[in-house]
Amino acid sequence: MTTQPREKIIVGLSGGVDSAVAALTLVESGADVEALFMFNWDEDETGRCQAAADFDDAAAVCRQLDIPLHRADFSANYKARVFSYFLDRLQAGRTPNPDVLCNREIKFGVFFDYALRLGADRVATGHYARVGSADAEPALFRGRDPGKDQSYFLAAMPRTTLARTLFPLGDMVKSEVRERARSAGFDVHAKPDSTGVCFIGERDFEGFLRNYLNTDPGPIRVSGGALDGQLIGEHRGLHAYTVGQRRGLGLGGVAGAQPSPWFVADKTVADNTLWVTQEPDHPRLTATQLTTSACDWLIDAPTRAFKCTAQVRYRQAAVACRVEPLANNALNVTFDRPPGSIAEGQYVVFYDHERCLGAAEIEHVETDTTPGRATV
Amino acid sequence: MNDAQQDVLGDQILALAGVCQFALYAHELAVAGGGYAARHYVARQVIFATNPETVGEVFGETGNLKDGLAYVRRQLTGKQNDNGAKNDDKRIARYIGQVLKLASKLRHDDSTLSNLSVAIDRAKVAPPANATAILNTAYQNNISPLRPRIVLQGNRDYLGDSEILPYVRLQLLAAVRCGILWRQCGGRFPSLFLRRRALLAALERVHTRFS
Repeated sequence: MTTQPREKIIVGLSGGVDSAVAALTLVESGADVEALFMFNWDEDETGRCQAAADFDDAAAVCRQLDIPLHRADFSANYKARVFSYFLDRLQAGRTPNPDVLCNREIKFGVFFDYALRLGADRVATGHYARVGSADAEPALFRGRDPGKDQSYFLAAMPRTTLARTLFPLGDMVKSEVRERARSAGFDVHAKPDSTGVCFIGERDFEGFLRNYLNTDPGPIRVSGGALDGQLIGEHRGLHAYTVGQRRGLGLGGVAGAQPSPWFVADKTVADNTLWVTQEPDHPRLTATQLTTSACDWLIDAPTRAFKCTAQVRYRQAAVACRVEPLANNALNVTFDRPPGSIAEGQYVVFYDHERCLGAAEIEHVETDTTPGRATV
Repeated sequence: MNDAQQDVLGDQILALAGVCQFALYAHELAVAGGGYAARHYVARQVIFATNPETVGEVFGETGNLKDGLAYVRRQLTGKQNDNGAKNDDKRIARYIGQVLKLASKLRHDDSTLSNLSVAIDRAKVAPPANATAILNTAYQNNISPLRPRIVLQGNRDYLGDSEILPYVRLQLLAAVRCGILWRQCGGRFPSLFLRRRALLAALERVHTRFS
């Protein structure tokens, strides 16, 4: 990471250990550093705002580093641009990814713009990714720590923000970050990583969503095999399931079925049905072709088909694929081998080795035209 | 067991062998591609036999059910293929199960059966290539939309070949026709697992006539 002498850098502080060490690294580099804490969510069901506790942690870090701390409330933007969309997609039976959306719309959208208005030359966050150069252009690369690489979640960030973005942790591994936090005397050095959906933190996700969604129970039916179409249980609401999911289905001892695991094969919203299978090679679970909505490119939008690698989930190996541009910046993607269960609503993220090329939401999974398969 | 019961089981075996044989042929087309004109001829004859006097009449000449009977024998005696063919066996077994499920549904679906009957009557009087095209369309319009949907696995080149797919559907239509026949003869899923010895004895009785 290189900074220009005394350029003003505003770092997003979340109250966690990663952004604290990002701020520390910037201060040590000699930059003029200020911090910005954002509120995305007002309060949880208990009436206490978790963000307030995070803000206290962020403020403690700023006191130790002797840097100013700004705060901004983006909860209205978050609800309008991320949460509403998230609920709509869930209601439509999809599996949306609010973290990718949050980075695109909030952290590298309104938050980024706000930081520039505060006079920032560049904006930094505690993500594990790297900004470098490729073809004389700023480019996004995977983080050095393969276990923490967060480029998947950043892949839809606006290309225009790359030149003014810093990821101080891009070359670090998590253990090193915690050690640096401990050495610096940050109280947050042992704070657990946040998991799950960023706006609800550690709370019960399903319970939280019941406040917002129609979560009618419905039938669980078998897809494929000798029991095809058979009713074998009741689901808790389609929003709670993802294609490929194996745990939490509550299916055991189905008459006539093998004692092997069940997987979610599909969801049909029209009849509120969850389809499950015991066949690991079920066509829906081994699909190799998908189409996307408009792609957010971090490179010049390709006009011809090309080969690269892609992943359809966070923390999975990228799989070689062929990407064919369609109308309206949509794409058809064909993988050389099944990339694992593809869930509509998730993002497919494209890579050229370590370089992240862009991301697009998965609109439709093709099972009928998969090479080596034909539905007759 | 009296003679009548023996005949019933023999008929079930013939019909089941038909299901297995045509599912096997569909699989082989998906894996190895075209050819097999004789197999397509047999499939058409089985489909065209809409008003037979006996079950045996559906299959016509001696030798027309050889592969199906051999497949059924292998399943009933538990003699598995070698390791290389285990995946094939698994896939074929899945297709057979799906065909039998489709046949059970179709048997009580007068509207779809009527549509198929019209198409079969048209195909009977058409040249072979046209007959296959008519039956292909009939399959797509009437059977493809039903669950379970049959998803064949095989060679991507063959499965993407518009010349080969109509023949795949022809074989599957013949398999479904045999599946309906199996149900008409009293065939039931539990008997496949619970009456293996009786079925094997019936297989021996019919084997000399049809292989």
